[in-house]
Amino acid sequence: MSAALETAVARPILDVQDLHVEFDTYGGIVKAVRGASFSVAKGKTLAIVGESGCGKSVSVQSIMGLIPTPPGRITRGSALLGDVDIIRQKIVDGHDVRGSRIGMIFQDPMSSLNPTMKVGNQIAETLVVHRGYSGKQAAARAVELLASVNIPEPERRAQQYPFAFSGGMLQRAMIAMAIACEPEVLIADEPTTALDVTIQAQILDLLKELQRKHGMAIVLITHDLGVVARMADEVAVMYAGEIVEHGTADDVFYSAAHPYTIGLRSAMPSRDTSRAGLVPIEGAPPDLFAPPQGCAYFARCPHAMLLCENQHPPAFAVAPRHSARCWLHHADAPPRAPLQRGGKQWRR
Amino acid sequence: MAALIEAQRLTKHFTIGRGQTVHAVDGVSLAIAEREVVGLVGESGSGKSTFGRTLVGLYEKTGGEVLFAGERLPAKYASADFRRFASQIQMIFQDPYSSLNPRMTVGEIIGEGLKIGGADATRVNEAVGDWLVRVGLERGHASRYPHEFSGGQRQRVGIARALIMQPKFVVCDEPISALDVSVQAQIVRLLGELKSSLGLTMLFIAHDLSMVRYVSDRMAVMYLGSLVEIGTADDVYFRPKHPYTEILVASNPQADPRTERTRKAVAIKGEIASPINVRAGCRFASRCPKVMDVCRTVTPELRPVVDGGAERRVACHLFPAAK
Repeated sequence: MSAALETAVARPILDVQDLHVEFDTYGGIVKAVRGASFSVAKGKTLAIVGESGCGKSVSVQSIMGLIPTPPGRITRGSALLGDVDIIRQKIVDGHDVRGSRIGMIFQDPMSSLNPTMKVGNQIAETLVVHRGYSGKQAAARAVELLASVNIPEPERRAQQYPFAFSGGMLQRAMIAMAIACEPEVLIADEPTTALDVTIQAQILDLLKELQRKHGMAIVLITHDLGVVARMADEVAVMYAGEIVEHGTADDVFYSAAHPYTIGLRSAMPSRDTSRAGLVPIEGAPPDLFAPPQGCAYFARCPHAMLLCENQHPPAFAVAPRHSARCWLHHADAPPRAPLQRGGKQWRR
Repeated sequence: MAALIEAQRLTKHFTIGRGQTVHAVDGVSLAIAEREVVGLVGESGSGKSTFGRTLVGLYEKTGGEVLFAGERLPAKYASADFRRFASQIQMIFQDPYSSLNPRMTVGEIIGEGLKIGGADATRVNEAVGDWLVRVGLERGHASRYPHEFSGGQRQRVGIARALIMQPKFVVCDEPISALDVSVQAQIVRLLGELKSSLGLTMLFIAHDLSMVRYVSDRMAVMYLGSLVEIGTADDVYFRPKHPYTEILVASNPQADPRTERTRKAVAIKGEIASPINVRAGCRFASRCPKVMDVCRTVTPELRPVVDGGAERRVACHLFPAAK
């Protein structure tokens, strides 16, 4: 275990425990998040990976209080930012922690910014609300912030409306807004999914640079394992509302312990994938109106055992700080062939 | 190998008023051999989708020609032309949500082409059922509506709709971009199986380089309306020559933390330029790290370069033409 991880164990800056989120719908209650726990330390990046509907966005949105209630509600769990459970207490010392101590950027910058407000004013607003800046001070700081996210001609750009910006520039503007109050945690929900790869590379480089400068923790939500490999110190893999595997990036990429993680990896072409090498995961994720009693991945798992259908697997530690919700890691599990396309086999 | 479909200096401009013209596709020449899969990659705004749509006749051509099996296709399709070519040239669209009519059943959507072609109802129903099974759905699904299906299932419907006509050539316009990773692999595998059993020729348009390399024989790279590089998929992916291709490949993150950790920052400055009223010279010159004086004045032609045995063409002044 690296020294960095020891610190993460000791002092997470954001610590989410046993989060449960449900939604009322016409079809019944959807159990979108079913007991997710994760944490992130200062200056580190946690990536939460998973496919649509796995609950990764809902998890962070519920922490930020962005889930409309009703129909959504957090039924259990806590999210400690320092000593404050921000699920129950949004206002600390008269200030909303959201926007000041936790910043967030979204997938679609075009619909996340106010189209009728100048970009500079939108950034300045944050400073006026959270930091009590005067309008003039805030406007000047907004221009500096635009410059710090590498937007050329920041004075002119601050006076423009969002429609005059390209997608990449809007994402930079949104990052400028999110870091305006120098938050301790930045939540990035699929920040580059809508962007081209060359622009994605620019935005990821920018996030890393800002993290080095300000030491903020980043929670990165993404479905792209390439982005995870580039950014993450730690990885949490989500499936059907649960974190099925958690560990350092190296653990999860080179010694994957959950069949879903391995399946996800085999379904993506890599540099050395031969033409026969792409293995889809057959089937579809379970219905979260009635989540399966046992393992959620049971129906699609090539290693499924009888036990998996009815017994819900706990998170087994497979190494220090590396855990997987899979019965294969139980001490009494039958001896088995190595997980398909798992472990060291990934590296040629 | 004889080309099944060939674009010769194909051009598509859009006029947007005030004397301005969008040069979406500018003189692109591309020949696709029978049973070949050519992958076309590029960023948004590079004109790759417009090229695909112009190639199959969904857009009127501004200039250039398209030859299909030796026959010159009309610059603008009349409805009779659509009827005639629909059985040979088809398209699979990106968005499985907006490309299927929500007021038609899946059976009606898939069978519409055959029905217009004059097949009787029993034969249409039978063929629709067969194709539903072939793309991994069930016969009973014919009476359902698109909203009852997931994204991956809808894309299967889109594939059945296109292939029931038994076309020779199919343009797949970002067929997997809207889908989840595990579903992408399902669709790619299905397309691969259908391609070999039907002997299809394909143009596979996408922005995901790793996936394009995986499905294609050759890969073509487009930037601001023109082709900048074309070669075998592995050559272009592993040994890119054009500076733009180099950056595109390097920007594509690999699912391998060790590689990513040792990677230098690769981001290039700036964004894709506007395709409105483009000037002379290389279109990549404004962002190119290896730009020379000549690049700003002379437009480089796509020409063969020496590269082992395989055919490779690059549009860049850095590479002298092969003798």
